Amino acid sequence: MQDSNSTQNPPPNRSQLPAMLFTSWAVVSFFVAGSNFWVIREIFNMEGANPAARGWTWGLLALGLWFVVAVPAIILSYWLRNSHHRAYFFTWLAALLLTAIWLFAYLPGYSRDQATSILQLGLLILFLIGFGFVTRRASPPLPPAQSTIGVAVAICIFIILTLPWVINGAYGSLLDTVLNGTLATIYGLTIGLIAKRLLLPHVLKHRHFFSAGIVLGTAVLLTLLGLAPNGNFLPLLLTLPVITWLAIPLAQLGQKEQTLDWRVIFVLVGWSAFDLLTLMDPDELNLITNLTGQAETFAWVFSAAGITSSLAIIFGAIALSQRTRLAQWKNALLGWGVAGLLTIGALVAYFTLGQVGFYGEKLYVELNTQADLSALAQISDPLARRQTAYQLLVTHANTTQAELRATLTRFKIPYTAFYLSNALEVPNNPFLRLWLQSRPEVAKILPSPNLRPLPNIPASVPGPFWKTQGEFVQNLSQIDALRVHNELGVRGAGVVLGESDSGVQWTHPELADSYRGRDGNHNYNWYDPWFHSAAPFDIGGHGTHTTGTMAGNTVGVAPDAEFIACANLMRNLGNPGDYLTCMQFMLAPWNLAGDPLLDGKPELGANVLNNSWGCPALEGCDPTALLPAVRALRAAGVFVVASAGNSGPQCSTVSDPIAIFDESFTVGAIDEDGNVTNFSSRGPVLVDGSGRIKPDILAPGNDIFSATPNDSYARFPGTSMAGPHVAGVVALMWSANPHLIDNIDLTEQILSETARPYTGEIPDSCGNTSPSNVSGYGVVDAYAAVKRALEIK
Amino acid sequence: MNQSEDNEQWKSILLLVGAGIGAVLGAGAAYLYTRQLEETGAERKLAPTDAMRIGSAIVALLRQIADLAS
Repeated sequence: MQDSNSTQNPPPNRSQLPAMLFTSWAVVSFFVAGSNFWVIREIFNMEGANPAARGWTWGLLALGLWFVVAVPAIILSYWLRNSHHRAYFFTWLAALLLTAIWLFAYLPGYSRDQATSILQLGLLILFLIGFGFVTRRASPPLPPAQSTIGVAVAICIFIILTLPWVINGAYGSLLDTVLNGTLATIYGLTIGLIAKRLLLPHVLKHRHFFSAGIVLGTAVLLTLLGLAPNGNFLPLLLTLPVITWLAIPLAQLGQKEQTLDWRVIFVLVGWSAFDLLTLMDPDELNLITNLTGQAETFAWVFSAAGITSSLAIIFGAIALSQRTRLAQWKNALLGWGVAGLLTIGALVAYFTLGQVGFYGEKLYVELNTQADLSALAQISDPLARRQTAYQLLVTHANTTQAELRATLTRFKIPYTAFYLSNALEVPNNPFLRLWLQSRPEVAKILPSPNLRPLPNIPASVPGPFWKTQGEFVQNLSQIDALRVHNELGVRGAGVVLGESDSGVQWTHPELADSYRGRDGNHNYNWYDPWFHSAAPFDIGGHGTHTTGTMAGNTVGVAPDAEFIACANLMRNLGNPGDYLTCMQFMLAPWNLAGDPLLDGKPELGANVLNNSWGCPALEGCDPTALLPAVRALRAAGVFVVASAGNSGPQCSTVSDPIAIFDESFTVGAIDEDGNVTNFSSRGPVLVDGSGRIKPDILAPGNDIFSATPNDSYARFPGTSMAGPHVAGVVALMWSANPHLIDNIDLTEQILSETARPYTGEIPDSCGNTSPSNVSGYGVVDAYAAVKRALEIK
Repeated sequence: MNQSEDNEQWKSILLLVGAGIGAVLGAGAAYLYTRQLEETGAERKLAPTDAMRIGSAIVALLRQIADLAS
């Protein structure tokens, strides 16, 4: 780390080797380990690990990395005798001490960002007070700055570096922003103070500006383990050390080589950290939200990080090469004028090009009583049964939530009330959470993650095919659905299917005739809790594909059934509140501007629901989240189909609501040869301690050909594709014999009894139970099920 | 989250991250190698036995990583 432009430096010698080796070791360790941590985190997310496991795993990995870097730093700091090299190591030791204290911030675990921020803030303030006290007499002291020009230029450069973040990013809640903003500001102050007390006086003496930038950048790198415990480690790793490196040459501005202005470090490091901590949601970097194939959040965050780092390197190179001239720069007024103009420019950019507003996470609050629906079993008329269910549910919610709602209203806290499960959704706030936990009517509080807006809504992704060919619908032959159409003349007429998914291209040639709002009236036929869009649309294509398998003209099991749709998966991330909203819409749809508790119309509800989604812990669900809602739907006569999940072939991988419930009819996947697919999740259900046998039945789910956006088609694999086959078969059965409508028990019995015994080559390796934990009752047989349905009087 | 078994996206991002890790490690190894050459003044040549040794070590490392998935 020899300054190439310093004439006073000695030639390369071994005395600098420890510092060079340590820097290389720290940088390589952090980049390699940081990247690997991110990969491990992703695997945990994809495998559906619970939040606590993710929290402590990430914490243990961080602790391990801390030891790997701290041990050589401690040994070398005692071994070295050269004062300025010891200064380097003392700077790193101070950073490592801060990181060690910050490791306690991992304790709150995953998806508890505000609790983590509060803990980080408290620990940082303690460190700052302690560090300030211990180093109050550090020598030699740094002479005071002679000009503010460095600070003004630092602000100018910060604003230029911040532009990619303010244009593309979006703030979380106001509280998130205040907490992280305060954290970043005090962090900048702490790094500035470490530099002022331990590093800069020695730099001034030896004029090792390039090396000092690398030393302080490495110190910041070491603190990132503690500053970014929630997944934003990787983008911070790419940007903040480089920006810190830039701060050292800028600190000479206007100081005539007699001192260095440590406030420049405070401004650049603190405010840049503010951008990185507030303008992106680290949870959104995970791959689950990247359904469209465009890696939306990942793409803009890493583009912004690349631009910021590159600009910082360019500015740093200019500052280093021109440092003699810059040290003589006197005109602070000009610097402040430019800083003012750039600030105005940045504000204009944010308000015109940015995502203005606050987009925080929410809390899902379930109450401890649910409506008593036992009387519904006595009502034989399906419509009367459904209407009574709606009334009972709404009345119970209004009564039991009254006090909570009144208090929330009094404090001007916005909330969403639900009735299908007696629950509320409120903004995420640790103080509100504490208050709710103290309320006797509250049973549990779950996180309800929310996505922040993107700079651009991704375009819908078309599939690779443009028209159907007969051989593509082998899946319909495989369950004998085509025989039902051709021999029995049954195609699903008179039944309403409900699709809660990523949306739907309702104008697709496969679906335009089946969508109930085909005349252009989307009231009661479409609801979008994310964007409140006026007409159905689908970005990822998953919803169009599953709807096509249920009700497509040529690719659907029940082409004459109608469907309504609700978008609960925006960018493939749902949350308990939005899943519940769509379930309510399916029971009693409301108009586009309506209120579910006032304007629901049970007579327009769907008969059969397909749910090609699961709600893992990552999305906020625990094993009983949404259970009251599924029970209520069943009691109201709605058939609920759920996809088993794609975590096979291990046993007990049917693990997420709503597939795990006894009240859901859970579907696993077979391939074209009739073998259960490797990915299809298996039972028994262990997450709720029930040992329940799942799945209930199998259906085709490997490379299923169906509709995708822009009038295209694609083959998708997954139990997502298997579920719609069974929903379609139920529509055929209920269309063939309307007396079966709302008779869930009998319908399930027919499906189970008429299923073909599973004869695939892959054996049941999950307990050899009957029904099986791999194949349930066997493979759904549309023809046999409809024939049996026709025999029921 | 949906129950579609479409893993191509996360696979390609994992490949990118893997390439990044490889690039950092490769650059670090090359740096250490050149630095060692400078310090020891040794001749820049690689004996066939050294190449074999490094090759088998890399194969063993790859196998260990691949085995993580089993």
